[in-house]
Amino acid sequence: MDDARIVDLFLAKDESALAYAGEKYGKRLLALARGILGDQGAAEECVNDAWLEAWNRIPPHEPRDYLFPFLAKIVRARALNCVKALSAEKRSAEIVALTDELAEILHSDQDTEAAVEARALSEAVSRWLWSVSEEKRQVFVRRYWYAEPLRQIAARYGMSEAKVKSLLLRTRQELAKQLTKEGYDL
Amino acid sequence: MKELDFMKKINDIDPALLGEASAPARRARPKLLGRLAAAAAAVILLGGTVYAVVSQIELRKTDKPETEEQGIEARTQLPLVSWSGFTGEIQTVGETIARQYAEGNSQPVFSSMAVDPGDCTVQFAGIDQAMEYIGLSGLKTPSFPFEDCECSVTAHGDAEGRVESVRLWAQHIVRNDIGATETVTILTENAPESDFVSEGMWTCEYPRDVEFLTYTTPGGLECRIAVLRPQYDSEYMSLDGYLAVGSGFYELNLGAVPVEKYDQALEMLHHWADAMD
Repeated sequence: MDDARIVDLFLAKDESALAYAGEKYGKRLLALARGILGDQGAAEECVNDAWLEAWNRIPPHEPRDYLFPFLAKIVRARALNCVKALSAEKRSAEIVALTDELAEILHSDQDTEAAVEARALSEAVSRWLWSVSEEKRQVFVRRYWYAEPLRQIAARYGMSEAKVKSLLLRTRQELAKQLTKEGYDL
Repeated sequence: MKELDFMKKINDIDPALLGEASAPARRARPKLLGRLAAAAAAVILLGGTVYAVVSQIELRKTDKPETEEQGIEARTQLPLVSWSGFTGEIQTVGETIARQYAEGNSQPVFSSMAVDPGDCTVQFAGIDQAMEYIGLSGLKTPSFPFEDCECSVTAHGDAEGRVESVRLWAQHIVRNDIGATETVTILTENAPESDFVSEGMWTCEYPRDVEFLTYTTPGGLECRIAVLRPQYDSEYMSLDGYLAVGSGFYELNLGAVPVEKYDQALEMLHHWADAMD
């Protein structure tokens, strides 16, 4: 079933919307949550909560043209909230590796809630990503948005893991430079 | 800035970026040559019935100094299949494709994953649903034993909405050591020719040694194999398998294979070819 029809079912408050969306995107959403949380049970719980949130947010939202990104954003935000609530030693190895990579460019300890408005940062990162090569931006998004393991990214793009690492290192450095230029205190 | 904060704060990046990164990797995008169909082309136009055609697959390494790229090219002749033979929901895409050209737009990248005008891509939860969507009798189901995969079908057509090619793409969600992507391409009677080329490119910055192999299945099906070894990164390699079976051109890419798993990967390719026999 195409996304527009699934969204119409959501809008009509027809519960089959959840079944159709689950059949189409459930596995990918679960993989996204599992990548961040590193635990199947927690990931399933996160995705279940996300379905309820999606049910409550459509309407007013009508994501006919972007249903998967809409659902994925909900799952990702919930998964990251769960990770924040966990103590450092309970975090998955993948999320630890991923945050270590970002730590290379993020130095400030200040309260980012006050310092940076999230939407503005998302817009700045989006603008910058559209300005770099297709390969760079896709690998960056797979890693830092979808929290995908390096090995999986390597397989997806037919690269070695070493190449993915070096590509990400250069990309992070370029992003840090650009954000600093725009006045962000990283 | 705290790393998790940063990750949370980029949650609202452009949905189009998320869609693009979910799209099939651009590697090995098929292309049709500019020549007119050769008279010798194997054309099958009988109500969609698919007949086995033994096609020779030519593999060669390519160099494009102007773009500083290298690659491998797999070339074969494919039978052209009657569009009426596609009986699934894909029959309705022509209108969408024609509208894209008329309005000068491709489908929104974030909804369809398609980024080029004339492409209409639909995602599926599994291969069976994708095969049902295509609905081509006799088309062999991709045989790689995916446990769990991302799957999509792209129909490419002209300004009149006539579908020229159909491509099924499936990628295994890697959990173990070897990731796999399988694609199947079918040309329709609307394709300008039956000479088909699939090409995989990489930048000269990362040169690779290429070795071509041939494996013949017990039933006599010829599987061409390309083994790619990066020159500056000796730990990983990738293997590509190519098969022409009936009306479909099947490609299996095993990416980022650790060197010590070469034999295992080669065996996977052989099993894949045997299953298509």
